[in-house]
Amino acid sequence: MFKNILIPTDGSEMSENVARKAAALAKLHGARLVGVHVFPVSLGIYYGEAVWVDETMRAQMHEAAAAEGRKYLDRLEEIARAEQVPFERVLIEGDSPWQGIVETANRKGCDLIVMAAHGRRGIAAVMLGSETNRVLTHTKIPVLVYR
Amino acid sequence: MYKNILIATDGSRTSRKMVQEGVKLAKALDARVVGVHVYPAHFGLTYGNVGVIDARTQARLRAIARKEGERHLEQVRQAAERAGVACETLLLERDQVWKAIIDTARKRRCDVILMAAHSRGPLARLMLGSETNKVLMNSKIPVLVYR
Repeated sequence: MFKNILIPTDGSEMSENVARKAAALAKLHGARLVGVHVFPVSLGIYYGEAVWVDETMRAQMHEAAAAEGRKYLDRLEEIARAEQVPFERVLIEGDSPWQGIVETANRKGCDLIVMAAHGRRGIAAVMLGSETNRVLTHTKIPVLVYR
Repeated sequence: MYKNILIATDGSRTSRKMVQEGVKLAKALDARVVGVHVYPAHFGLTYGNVGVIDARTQARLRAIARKEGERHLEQVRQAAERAGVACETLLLERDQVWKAIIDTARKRRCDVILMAAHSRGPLARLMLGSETNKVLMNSKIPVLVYR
């Protein structure tokens, strides 16, 4: 059935809970997991028109974001390992997470995306997360949505 | 994993593909399938409380919808039978399609809902269907969305 399952993470507890479900599903199907984290390129602090970030700060923030992303993916890897499921990590830069998620799914030949109904910034009970919504409208691959 | 899979079909091309995939999933997981089609109890435009379609036409439209719905459910039954998957189907007349889907999932103790991202029509493809969106927002169980 499913052979190649993509799990996006934003480091939230929610996305790790979903990763656990995906790992159980992968084990049952003899599938592998691809974990992806997309971190933002433009890590600016804007105040009106002014950007309060110079190049050095930008590089530091970039490195910090990448390091944080690696941690998120480490946790997914642990979850996959606990279920003895093969795991591949993808850490990419991009200003729209949904685009990174959809592109990674295509590039890695995934046949299922498993994600939370809302991410870190979601207003849990009220609406569908914007990234989830955009993934749902832009991918051709089935998406399994958890709340 | 999943033992009781709800497949909500509207008979669209995506839905028909989903039915095949859903039965395959049920087979792989040794699960049973509940096929459901919901058609509206009232058709067409309303202005306030005034329906612009008269009662006789309404009855005729409902009869067509029932027949169509039966056809969509027959596809589910046939696919399940071919795969040797236990299957039950329900044809429901409700104005709130999303609510009927969620209620059915609860009553039949389903642990996942399968549905298409959008209904028919070229424009519908560009966005998430409103019923799908409402199911995603209100379902306590995971929803597997097909495109």
